Amino acid sequence: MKKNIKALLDLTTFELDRLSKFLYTLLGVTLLANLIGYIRTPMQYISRMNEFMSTQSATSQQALENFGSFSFYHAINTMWISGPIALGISGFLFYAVFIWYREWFGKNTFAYRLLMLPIPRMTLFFSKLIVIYIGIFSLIATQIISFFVGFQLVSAIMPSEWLAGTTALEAIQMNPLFMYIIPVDTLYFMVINGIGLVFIIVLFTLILMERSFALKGIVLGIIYAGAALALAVSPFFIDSILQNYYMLYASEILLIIIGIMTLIAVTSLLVSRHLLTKKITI
Amino acid sequence: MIELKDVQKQFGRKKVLNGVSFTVEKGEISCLVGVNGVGKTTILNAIMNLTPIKKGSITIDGESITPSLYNKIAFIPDAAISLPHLTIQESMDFMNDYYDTWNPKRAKEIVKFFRLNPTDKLRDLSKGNQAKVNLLMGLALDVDYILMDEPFSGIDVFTREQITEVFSSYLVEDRGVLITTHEINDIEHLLDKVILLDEGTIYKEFNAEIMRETEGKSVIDVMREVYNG
Amino acid sequence: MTKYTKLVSLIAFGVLTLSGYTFYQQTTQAEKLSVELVSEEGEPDALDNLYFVGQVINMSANFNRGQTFEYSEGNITFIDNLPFLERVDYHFTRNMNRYTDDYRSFMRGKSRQPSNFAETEEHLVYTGMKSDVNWRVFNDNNLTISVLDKETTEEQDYEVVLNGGSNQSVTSTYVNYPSLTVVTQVLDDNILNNWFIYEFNLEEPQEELEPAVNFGSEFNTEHISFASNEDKTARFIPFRTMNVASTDEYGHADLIPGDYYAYDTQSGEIKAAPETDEDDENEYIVLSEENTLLIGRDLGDSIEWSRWDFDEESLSDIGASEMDTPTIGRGRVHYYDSLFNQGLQLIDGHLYAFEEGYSDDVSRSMNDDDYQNLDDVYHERMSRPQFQVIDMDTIDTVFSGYFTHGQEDESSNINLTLFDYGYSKFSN
Repeated sequence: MKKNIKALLDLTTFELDRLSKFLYTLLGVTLLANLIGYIRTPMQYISRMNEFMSTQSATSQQALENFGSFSFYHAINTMWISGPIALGISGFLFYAVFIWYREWFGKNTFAYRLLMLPIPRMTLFFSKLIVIYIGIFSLIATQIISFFVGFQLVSAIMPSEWLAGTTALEAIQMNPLFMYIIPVDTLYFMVINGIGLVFIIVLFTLILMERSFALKGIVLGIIYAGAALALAVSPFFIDSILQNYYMLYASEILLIIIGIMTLIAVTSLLVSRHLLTKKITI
Repeated sequence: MIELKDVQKQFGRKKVLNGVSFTVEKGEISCLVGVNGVGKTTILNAIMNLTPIKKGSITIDGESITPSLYNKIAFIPDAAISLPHLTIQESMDFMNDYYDTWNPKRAKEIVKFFRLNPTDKLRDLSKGNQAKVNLLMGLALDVDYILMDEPFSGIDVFTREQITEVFSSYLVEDRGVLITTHEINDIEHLLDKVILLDEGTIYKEFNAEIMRETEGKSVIDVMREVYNG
Repeated sequence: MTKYTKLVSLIAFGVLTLSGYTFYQQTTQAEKLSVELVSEEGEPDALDNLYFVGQVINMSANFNRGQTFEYSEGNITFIDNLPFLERVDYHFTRNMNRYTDDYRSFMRGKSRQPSNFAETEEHLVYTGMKSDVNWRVFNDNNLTISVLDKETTEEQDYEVVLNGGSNQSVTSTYVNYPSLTVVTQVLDDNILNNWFIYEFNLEEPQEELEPAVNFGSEFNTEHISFASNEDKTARFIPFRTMNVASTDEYGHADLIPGDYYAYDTQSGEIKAAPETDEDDENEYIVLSEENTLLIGRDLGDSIEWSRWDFDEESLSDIGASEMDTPTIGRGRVHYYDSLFNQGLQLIDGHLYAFEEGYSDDVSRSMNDDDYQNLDDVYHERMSRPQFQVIDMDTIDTVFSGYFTHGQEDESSNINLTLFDYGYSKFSN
């Protein structure tokens, strides 16, 4: 047991090393794009205000009435923030697939080495899963820190009389996008991450199906994914099937959803273990 | 002893192995021979549980293969299997992290024997040196059995000589070795057992030395009889 | 160990930042707002059978989710403090929560509309249409009646077809066990409103019911308004006709009260309220409880009360009550239904009057264009839910007070609003 944990730790460290270039690039792009946003957006506002004041010979107060005050919300509600987030999400989605296929299709067939390690093969599965989550959480953490640094930056750039009193926290909470990626609401954050986790586990299973049965595996994967999806959304149709919207209490539906998600996750883990130990082909 | 019993394998509709049975004993060097596509590599992959078999059984000292048996049997495939961005030393450290049977002392000796530089990155190595690294990773494990897939393919004649030397060295002493190769001439004199594959089954299993002594035929002669005849 | 440095530091970075953020968010935001009842006259326990769900929200914070609380049996409970699964099931109607807590299996499959329930000492009666629980059903005249015996927890179910109109919904049900009086609202094919009353006997159940009263044909109007009545065992159901004062360009009618009536659930008779003058510029209030019918003439600062003897068709004066504000109890509480007397209830011989908030500064009105002013007025009016309790035997005020947030800071702009309120003699 202790040996297996050490192996998991070692492999996770190893996978993290392989991820780091990709991760640091994403972190760098995020910080850079955010920085541009924190500077550009308030500068644009300032020049618009100045232009208005000079062309209309208006006072600062009149300009303010015309354009409204600038809040940190405006600075973070731009592509400079949402762009890197979208990039991060799609990047990790891509990486979740790449993390497996590179072992077979890389310059060297490292899959030989990995599959011949004297450790349970599920260790490979878990190390890859953990590394993806470490990456995602590092990105989220960086984004959070960026907001608070960016807030100071925007406050420094913007003349205080034009700055609305929105705090960094309020600005974050106002944008619905951040509900999904930042723990604005702990419970909601956990739900999103729970769904995300199950999604990645299922995705890994599909990849292992393809790696085990090739074309047949793709067909099998599509069927498996379809069945998992149908099962996952089925609680939402219970009301319609029963022709009564109050047959189940909301808490019961929630528990059913949690149960189904756990079932999908556990089934996928078992299927993955079976494929990895018995069916995988080099 | 590695034992294969009635092993069957199919790729799609094509039957590759159709009831293959043989054994590899400790202290013996056995060689799987046969033309391309006859299923030699598939057999090695199957022994290592790197491809599932349809039917039959494969045991190593009576046990089906489990991850812990990778401390008992090593496989040196015909492809670079270490990560190109790692140095030889880093690759050895990686092995040391996971294998109880990794023998650092022996690894050092092999590095010296092959005249490799531990600080070289794998991606900078020649094909021959990459093959040597592959051998290093397998031979530095204190295992009972070693499987080698085409250890001579695509490498220069000097490297080939160096690798041939391995087979008569202490590095394979007392181990059960199963290799596949086309370049049978170089090592024919070292082989204890030759397993000749044809159309998914074992056509002939013989001792190369006895064959030479009793029938005056080399392995190549026997192969010619089979594939041309 | 150095091998794991990157792994450990990245995990630590993620965990610390995320938990730090969560902690910061909680400490910054958790300016816990409190709610308290301030008594200006009498003891607060006079409001023990009042319940409501309300929300406090600090409007001066740019983003702040309000905190929802429930007032029930004299206690205030913040919903955030409830266990997680209870919070998931929480319904913003206090009685629904009480029913689902106490009669979980009875409530399964039944709508959560308070108007679909009638409660007595012994029974909980559900009267809901099929369409109340299945939103794909239209033009529905299938009534489900379920009666729960509170003591034995036995449930009796009935399926009844309501003749006379399709697309019906239950407005209220009165119980005089084993008789049920069901008031339904009907939309006919021309989308015109109508109201029916059906009588159902639980001991002689029928599969189809004909309307006992068809208000549309009886009063020749589609504008009827029923008294909002908490006591579902009351013998009388007060209602009034509404007259169209004017119609705007969109065809929307501006209604003014017409005549006042009461329906006797025992005899099935309808009688007009005596001495209520349609041309009187003062509005009337008609309240009922058990066998009592009270009529009040709204004079603003006071209400003149009379007892209505239904059988004798006569009124007897019982005095005038001084009201805390000129509008308390006489404003609308729910804008979406056509009930009257929404802010006044007669419970155990006591009159309960409610007002969301009152400002006597007439210079400022809600129609003002000045945004800031509007905000202030809204704040003043909405944030001081006021209650007055009058003993109708003596016509004396026994309690007068209001709810407020416990915020000392005058400059903070905290709103306190109620979205479900009522009175119940029954408790958990």
